Amino acid sequence: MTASTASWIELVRFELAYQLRRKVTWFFFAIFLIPLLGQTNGQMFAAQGGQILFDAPIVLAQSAAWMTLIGALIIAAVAGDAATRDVRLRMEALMHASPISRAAYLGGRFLGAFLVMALLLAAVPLASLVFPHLYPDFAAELAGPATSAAYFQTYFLIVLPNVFVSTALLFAIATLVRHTMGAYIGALLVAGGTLFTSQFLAKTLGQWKLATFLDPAGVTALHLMAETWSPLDVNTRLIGAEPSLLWNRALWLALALAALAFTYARFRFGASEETRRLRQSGADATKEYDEVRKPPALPDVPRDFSPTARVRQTIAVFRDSLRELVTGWTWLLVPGLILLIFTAPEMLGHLGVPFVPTTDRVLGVLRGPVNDIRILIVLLAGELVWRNRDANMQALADTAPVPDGVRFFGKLLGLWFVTIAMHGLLMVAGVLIQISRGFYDFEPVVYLQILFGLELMEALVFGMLALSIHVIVNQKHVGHLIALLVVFAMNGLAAQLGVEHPLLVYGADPGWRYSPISGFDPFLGPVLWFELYWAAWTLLLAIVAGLFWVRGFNTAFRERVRIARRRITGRIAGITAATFAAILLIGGFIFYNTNVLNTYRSSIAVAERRAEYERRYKHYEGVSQPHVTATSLEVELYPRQRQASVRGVSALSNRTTQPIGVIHVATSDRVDTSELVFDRTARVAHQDDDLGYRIYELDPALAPGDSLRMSWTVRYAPRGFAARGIDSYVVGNGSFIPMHEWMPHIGYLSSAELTDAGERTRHGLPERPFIASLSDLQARRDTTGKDRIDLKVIVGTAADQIAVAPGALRSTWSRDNRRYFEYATNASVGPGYAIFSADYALRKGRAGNVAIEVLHHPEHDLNVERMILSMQASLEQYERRFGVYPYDVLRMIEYPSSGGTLHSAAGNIWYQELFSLFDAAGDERRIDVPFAVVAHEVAHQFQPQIARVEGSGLLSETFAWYAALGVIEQEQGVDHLQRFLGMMRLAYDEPRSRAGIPLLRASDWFESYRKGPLAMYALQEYVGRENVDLAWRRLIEQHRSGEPPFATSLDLYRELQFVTPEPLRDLLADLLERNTFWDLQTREISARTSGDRRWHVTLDVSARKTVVDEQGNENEVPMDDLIEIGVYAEAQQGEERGAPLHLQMHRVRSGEQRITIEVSEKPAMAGIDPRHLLIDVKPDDNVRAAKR
Amino acid sequence: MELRIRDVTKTYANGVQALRGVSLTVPTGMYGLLGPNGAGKSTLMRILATLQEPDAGNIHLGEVDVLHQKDEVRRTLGYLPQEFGVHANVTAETLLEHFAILKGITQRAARRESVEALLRRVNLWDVRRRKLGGYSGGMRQRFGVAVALLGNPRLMIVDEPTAGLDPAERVRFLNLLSELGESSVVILSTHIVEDVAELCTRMAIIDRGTILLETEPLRAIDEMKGYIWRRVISKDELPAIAQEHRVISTKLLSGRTVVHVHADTSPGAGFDLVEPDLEDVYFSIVGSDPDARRAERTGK
Repeated sequence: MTASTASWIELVRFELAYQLRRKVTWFFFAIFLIPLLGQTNGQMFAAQGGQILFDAPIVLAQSAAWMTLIGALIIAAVAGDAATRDVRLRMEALMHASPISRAAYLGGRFLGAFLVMALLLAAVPLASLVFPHLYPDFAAELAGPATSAAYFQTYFLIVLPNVFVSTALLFAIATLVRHTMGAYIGALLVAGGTLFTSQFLAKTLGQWKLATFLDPAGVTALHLMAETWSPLDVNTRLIGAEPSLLWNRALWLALALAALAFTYARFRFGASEETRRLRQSGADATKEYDEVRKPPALPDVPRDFSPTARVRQTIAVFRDSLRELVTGWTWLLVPGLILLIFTAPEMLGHLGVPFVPTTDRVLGVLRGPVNDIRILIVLLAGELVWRNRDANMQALADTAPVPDGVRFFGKLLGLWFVTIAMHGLLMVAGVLIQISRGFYDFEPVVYLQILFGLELMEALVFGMLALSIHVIVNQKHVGHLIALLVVFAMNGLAAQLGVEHPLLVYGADPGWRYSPISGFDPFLGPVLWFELYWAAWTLLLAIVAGLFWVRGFNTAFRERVRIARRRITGRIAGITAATFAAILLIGGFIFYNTNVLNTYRSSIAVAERRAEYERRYKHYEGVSQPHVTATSLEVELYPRQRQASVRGVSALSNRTTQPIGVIHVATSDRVDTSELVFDRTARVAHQDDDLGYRIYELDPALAPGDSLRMSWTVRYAPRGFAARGIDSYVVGNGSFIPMHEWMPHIGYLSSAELTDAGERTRHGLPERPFIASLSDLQARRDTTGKDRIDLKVIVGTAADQIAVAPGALRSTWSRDNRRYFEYATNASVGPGYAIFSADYALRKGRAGNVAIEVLHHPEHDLNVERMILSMQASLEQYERRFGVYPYDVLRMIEYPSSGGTLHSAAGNIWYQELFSLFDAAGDERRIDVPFAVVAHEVAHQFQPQIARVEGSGLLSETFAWYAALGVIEQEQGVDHLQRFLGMMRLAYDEPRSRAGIPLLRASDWFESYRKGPLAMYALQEYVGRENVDLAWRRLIEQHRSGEPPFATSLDLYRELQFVTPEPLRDLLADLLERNTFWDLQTREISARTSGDRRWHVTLDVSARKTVVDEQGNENEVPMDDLIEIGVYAEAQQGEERGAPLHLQMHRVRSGEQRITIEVSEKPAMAGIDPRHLLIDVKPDDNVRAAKR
Repeated sequence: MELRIRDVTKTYANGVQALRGVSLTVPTGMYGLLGPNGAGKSTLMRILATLQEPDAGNIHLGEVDVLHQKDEVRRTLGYLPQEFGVHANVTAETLLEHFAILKGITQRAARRESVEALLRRVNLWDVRRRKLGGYSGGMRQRFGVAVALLGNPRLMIVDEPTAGLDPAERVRFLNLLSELGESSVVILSTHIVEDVAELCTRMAIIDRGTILLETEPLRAIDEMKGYIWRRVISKDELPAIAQEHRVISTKLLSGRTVVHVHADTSPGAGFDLVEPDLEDVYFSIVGSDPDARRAERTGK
């Protein structure tokens, strides 16, 4: 063994032993175990939920990848220490003077740190291995036939490479910048890089391949596998065979090695800052004393220890802190901000449509970074607390006659100043984002209220917390870890432990939302109370920190306690008592609100209530009940008081053939239901106000065909505020009441049942499909919530507001300084309607006999014209295609909410305010998404009555998009339509398993909103739109009444089969009945001219067709389909493709084949299925340029 | 003013007994605390400088209770630690101004004057605008002196100050101290006998946490007169001599070994009576230097 190997081994051994002996290492590890066990626990919960096993290889790997990112924090502490220990302990010269080579020194330190982490993070796969044995009621079926290969691969392909990469990068940075802070910055870079690639690059930009390659932790590659593998594969397939993952690992191992090599090349022994500076400035440059001259006498200067002096001293400490903060690491924020400005436009949008960058939108995007500032606050607080000690200056500084409070407060001020500056920078970033998008209405008040109000306040309190934690913990790395846990893990950890009440989870509050319509209403008060509450706690912690402030060399815990005890003066005790009293007072007030005025329930209690409701009343589900046929409501809204009352009368009729003697009524827990009476004798046989279930015995029973009236009153008067989910039904401006959430319902509500499979198991409920099977005949006839009613509504509201309800406005009047609006429907509506009241602007239009209205926030007028045009065009076209629009009004209503979704029912379409911000003109793809979305929503008004079973998505959302495509084509042209379809097809680029259910059972977003409409469009191109429309029209006509049987996808299929000619029936089955994929490819195009302006185009194409079942079994089927073949002329400027010279169906078989076409113009491109009507595995090889 | 230390005891968490019932009375003037490395000097200095808590005992500076009125003490305290650092990216002037404010010199003009006088005094005025990271060890030490002298302290504690200084700097620094000693209590802790010999009017010798001698250097030397014998020997003669006599120090001189022996009468041929110096006092109290001690052991 050579000497150098020996010294290597010794260095590695020393490092390993040193790190393993350090208490801090194990403390970190202990803390790391908390999220690790949480993660493993979550894995088990997920396994309870359904098909994915607890120990599926991909699940193990994914958990491990995320856990190694959390582990990066520990790596930062260990690698940072290994890299900078000698600098810190001023042992540098000593180490460097010993005859160790650079390679041995760096390599030994690095390998030691790496081995420690490799050892500790072996706990990640081990946790999953051991966990089930710790859990007594762990059901065996949740785990699969766990193979050791899965665990090995998790460790050797995920954990070990990630640990190596993180350790190498963090070690390299810390070594080069000679500061442990470098390691933390490195950890942030690794975590940030992972989030950037996996979330932004992959999910937002759709660059999955690139993201998979670049992702430092391999998260994207694993996500891609999890999404694209069939359910069968997910539980059994190993991750090791995936080239994309291996390439990713190779890239990062190479980068890590490169970082180490770079560090080796740049690292010089003794290159300490001191010696470097000395070298630059020359050694002791002071002149020799002038021995003869008497040294100047020291002046006797006045000294001051008055309160004024204390203030000056505080300012001095503050300025000294700024020297640390402003010249230090804070600048790292700037590149982050620049990145933010560049990525923000991508995040400021939906469906690829940019939003108008209003200040509250931009602040929404900035919310992530606002949170990230806290990481910086934690790190900077650590540097501040350790500033003098890190410089070994504490002996000089701590003997100065300055009270500890001056130092603490001065540093706090410094931290606060920087925090404020960071928020200022964020505001600058926000304004820059707005300017870059040509938006100049900066709304400084909104910046002030949100960024410099709520969020700054929180950040300042957090700064005090971080500083206090660092003081109390008195170990920099542990302080970092604990403070960061508060930032990131507090909520999750508390929830894992079953602690949910926001009074018990540091920094928790019931949440808030800003809306240009409703402002902060009704969230501001509660949030401020919580803010105050946590500020008081933080103050208490700061007082403790002041008592335990380390001055001088008293670092032993015993000594600190002794000193702390001595520091308690009467004044301190008084302040502490006052703070404690404030906590009790504020906390008590909050508790009074959340638990006395309101009922507080933990999420387990909420789920248990739903389970109990099902256990107690499920057996009533089939009991015959009367149907609601008409409802009239008198609604009184008091927006300023946040109160409302509704008096309702409903007509119930017995449509069965048996008399109904018992009526079941479900009441809402969001309002007080009272005065529920029938117009005949009804005895209360059961009243459960807790779960909201009443049973009335009628006397006499309601005879078949007979009807009765039920009247009731509900009152809404929120008392104080709730612990979470503060509701915003009635607010100062922008009230929105979905009536079914308030009204009493007839019969058992199956919608109240728990749906999550895991939750059902935990609450001992029998299995229940998420949605009833298509073959469930009983579910197909279920009339719950499907009653068609005539509705009359009178709403009274504040004098300056307009109230809206379904139907046309029949009259309006004023009384007692309030305005009243009377609405009535001219045709029956379903139960899903809502009441609105706000200071609306009203725009009117007309389409035939139908009045068109848009009620919107006055400032949100960007899309109103577009919306009216779309409503008009849609109404006119749909009436031709699908039948008569039943109502005399079609209305869109805006309401405050942070989302951008729309809902369409009973002649009203209500939309969340974000929809108003869709900036169609700024869409570079030239797609008018808002126009299309409105057409979609109008189509919902035409859809049939749909049974609540599988495939309902096909009849609602697929129908709405299919219908809207026609409006887009008519109003905006074929090219626009093609661009729009192209946007829809983007969904195919997202990673997704090919295993799937046929469209006839469509239920998820992809099937209903994308695959379905594209299939319907293909069908339209094959069999003609009139025919497809005919099928829909017939379906709608048959299922309009609100009486069972309700429409199912099978009914649609029957109608479609009827209109589809025999030769295309197989295609219809491929589109709807089977989960079929085509693989169409053009291999070569050649074109030659015979001179007489005739061109012969020869296409060599290949084709195959695969049917994939739900489990992912792929089955190639013989193909003999009509497929469109297109030949295109030279593209003009700005076109992707030239004019079609030929576009016709040709019969294409499985395998290779040649197709010859004659055209009359020079062809440039040609291909098979050029318009991508069919679902192609690889759509980009369909069309090629012609060779000649 | 007088500093009274009574029965101060300090045991560290790892079991090391740094101070075992130390009692001293330190009058105005220069006071030397002499002891080998690890004797407990720095611990005592830190306790006096309010940076560490003793387990027991009490300390008073005039009327002020040092352990319980720390802020009072700090107002009159100048402390130059044995080893310290400074912020590397700050200029000497800026940092000294900062310390001046912390020491209560909050008036701008007074502070300026004070800072300038001190920087001139420690000969750093010309480099006052330079970052402290670029200072040599000696310059940094002088900067520490300037910090310690801020606000004309009544109690000056200097812990091993001359260790990093070159001979000229050392002389200048000691002059500075003695000047201060005219009106203040100055405690100089050191393991270098000359420092004490040259400057201090009173001194104490401490070893293993115990005060072994509290005296005036001149008197101590006087008391040794007639007891110290010197002889030049070759190295291998040492064990024999150590066995017979009380060797208090050995020193190399041009390749030969010079031994000092403590004896009432002439220890024998070749021994000459010498004028004792403080070193002889020190070694006879602390129990001879390591070489001599080793010789003693092997002799037994």
